[in-house]
Amino acid sequence: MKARIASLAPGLAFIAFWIGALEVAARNGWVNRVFSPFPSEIAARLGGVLGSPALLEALGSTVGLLAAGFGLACAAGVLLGLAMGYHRPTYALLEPTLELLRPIPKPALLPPLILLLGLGAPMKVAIVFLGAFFPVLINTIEGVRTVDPVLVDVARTFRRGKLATVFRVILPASLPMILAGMRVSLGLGLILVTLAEMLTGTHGLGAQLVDAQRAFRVQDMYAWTVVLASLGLALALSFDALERRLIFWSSRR
Amino acid sequence: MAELLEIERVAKTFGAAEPVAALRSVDLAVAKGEFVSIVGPSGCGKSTLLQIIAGLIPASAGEVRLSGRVVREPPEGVVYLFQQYSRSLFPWLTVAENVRFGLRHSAQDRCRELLQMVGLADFSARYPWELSGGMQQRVSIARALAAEPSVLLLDEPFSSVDALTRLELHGLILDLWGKTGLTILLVTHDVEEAVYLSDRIALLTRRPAEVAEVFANALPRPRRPVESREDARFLALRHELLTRLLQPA
Amino acid sequence: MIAMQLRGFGVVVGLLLLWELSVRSGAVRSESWPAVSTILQALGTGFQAEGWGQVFGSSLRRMAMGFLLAAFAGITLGLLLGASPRLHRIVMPTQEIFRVLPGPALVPPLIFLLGVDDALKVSVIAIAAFFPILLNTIAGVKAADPVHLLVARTFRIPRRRVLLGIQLPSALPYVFAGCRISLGIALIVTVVAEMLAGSEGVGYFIVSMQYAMRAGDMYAAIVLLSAIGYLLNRLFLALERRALWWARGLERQAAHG
Repeated sequence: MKARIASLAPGLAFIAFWIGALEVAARNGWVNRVFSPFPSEIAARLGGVLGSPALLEALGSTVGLLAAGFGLACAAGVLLGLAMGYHRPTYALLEPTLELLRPIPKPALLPPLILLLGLGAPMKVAIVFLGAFFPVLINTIEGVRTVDPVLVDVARTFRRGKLATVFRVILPASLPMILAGMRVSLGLGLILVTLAEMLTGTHGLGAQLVDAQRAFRVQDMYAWTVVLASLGLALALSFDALERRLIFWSSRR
Repeated sequence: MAELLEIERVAKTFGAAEPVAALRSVDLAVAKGEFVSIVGPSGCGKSTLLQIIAGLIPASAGEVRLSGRVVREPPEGVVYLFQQYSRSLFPWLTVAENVRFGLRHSAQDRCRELLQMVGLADFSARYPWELSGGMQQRVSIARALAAEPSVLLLDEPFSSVDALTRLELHGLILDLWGKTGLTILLVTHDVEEAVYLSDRIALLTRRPAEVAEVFANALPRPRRPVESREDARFLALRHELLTRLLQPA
Repeated sequence: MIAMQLRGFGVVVGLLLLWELSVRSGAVRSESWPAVSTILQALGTGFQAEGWGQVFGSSLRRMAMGFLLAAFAGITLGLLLGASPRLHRIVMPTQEIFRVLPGPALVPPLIFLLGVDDALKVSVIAIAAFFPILLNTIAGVKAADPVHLLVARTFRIPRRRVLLGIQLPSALPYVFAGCRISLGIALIVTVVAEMLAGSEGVGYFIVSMQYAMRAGDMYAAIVLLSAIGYLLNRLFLALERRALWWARGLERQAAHG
């Protein structure tokens, strides 16, 4: 722990340095004082945001939508990926359709989704799902295909059934790849939910950000940006922790 | 005889929290033009010793001197030939370009000459991964010679090729050694190889290693791959070394 | 095997037919659910009636500028940070902060600093595309074979030559992989930035078709955009394969033992 802090120290000092530089530049008017980030002012606004019900509402909305879309995408991606990775005919049957849908830039699907599903939660969950689904699917297929055949043979010599082999041997063995896909998906999901909120401007962190921008509450906008970055960081760190617990064995082989 | 390379009380310990001693105290001197082998039980720290001599890792105690100067960084005139030849060649460079990597001035003629010496003149435009293991090791030998070293350090360079290729490479190394007046220090776990190639053989103890004894090799030169191995002096030295190596701790 | 593949394409055709029939039969009557044939028609007329050459051209130009900036900055910085662990330790936390910030959130602040025109969009694209290239280049430099670096040390090769002659080529497969990811991101972010600010490009076109309830044109633009994304990826893969011929040889060798 001590060593970890020591290794982080120079980096944290560097962050402190550029925050300080921004502060000095803004105070002395070297940069535009209204539009540039002004750290002490942002900190004050952040204090206001942190105590407000708006924060809980926005965080709850964003995280809830993200969790729903991401969770669905993981479940669907892993199940379909296992089927397609393990069973060749399923793969051949579905591959052309998926290859057709995969290259669609997901943000471009927001306008049609708004037309079809409206501006509410279903549309936002759908866009997160669409964005998060493909990385999980592709990585699961790849993970299943690269499972050491020896492991599968072991399961066969112990005369385990197909289902048991898939869930007790193939799924755990491909977990490192699957989790790598989920990590990408989580990032994409956060991007897409933020974007959806920005475009619809109703609930969530993205909406707060756009509201502040349109109302020229510039330092508030920066404060919400900090909140959003913190959420991103918290998600990434939680995912790291989860990954360490689930696949502690993977680097030891 | 003037000593070119002097290894004096070199010790190496790894790890700070739970230190593991690899080398206790190694003393060895190598004269100019000599071919010396270091043999020892596996895991006794032979390669560690060679890397310290090459200046790639620092010794915990003691020092290595080359022509009287203490070695701290890889010194000029010393080239190290790695065991993992296929990993030591650059896959994005051709055979000739790999050899030129060792040249101080990219002289076309010298490169061709070197490839000729190792018998690969026709393969200069190929990539290392297109060649067999033995050929790859020849390329790294040519690259080593390109640097015009006075000392060549060989870290089990023949251990991962097949038996016949190994004999060919032995011949090549002896041939090059005879032509260039190089000083060669070879680390190996193959006793026959050590006896066949070298003038003297340093036997290391188990970890933490010291030099148990240095054996002078009476086997006459030039060495011949078949006859030399049947010579009574070859068999006697092999017997002695193997017996010592297989002694229980 | 071929029969299985045919069945796969059959699924695609079947789905498209089902879509077409859902509209033709009158089962779905909605402005936002145009028939496949309507979309294809819109694709045909888009270049004349809507000036798609210009719409897509301006988007691609912005994307290329942002991507090139990102590639230049990402590779240069990645080489430096990969080769110097000390420098990397200093910059790492800052890099993480910007990496976890979702791309679209960059747009509002940058609107104030850069306006709503090309400067904004190119910057947002460049920032978003920068990180995969940077991270991959760093990882690539660090993945250089330690034996190669030892060889360089025993040959007393100066540091700059090690960086450009050994660490850069070793990192190239990673650099290309990063660039390919970034190319996809650059296209996406181009659309996002155009959706959020300004009045030009594909992103703006798609959103304005949504507002105008012209679903056929909207879907047609998305189809074309996807095709462009697919082609760009293919092109880049081909380029990659040409540039990294030796990496493939190495793989073959490893596979054959």
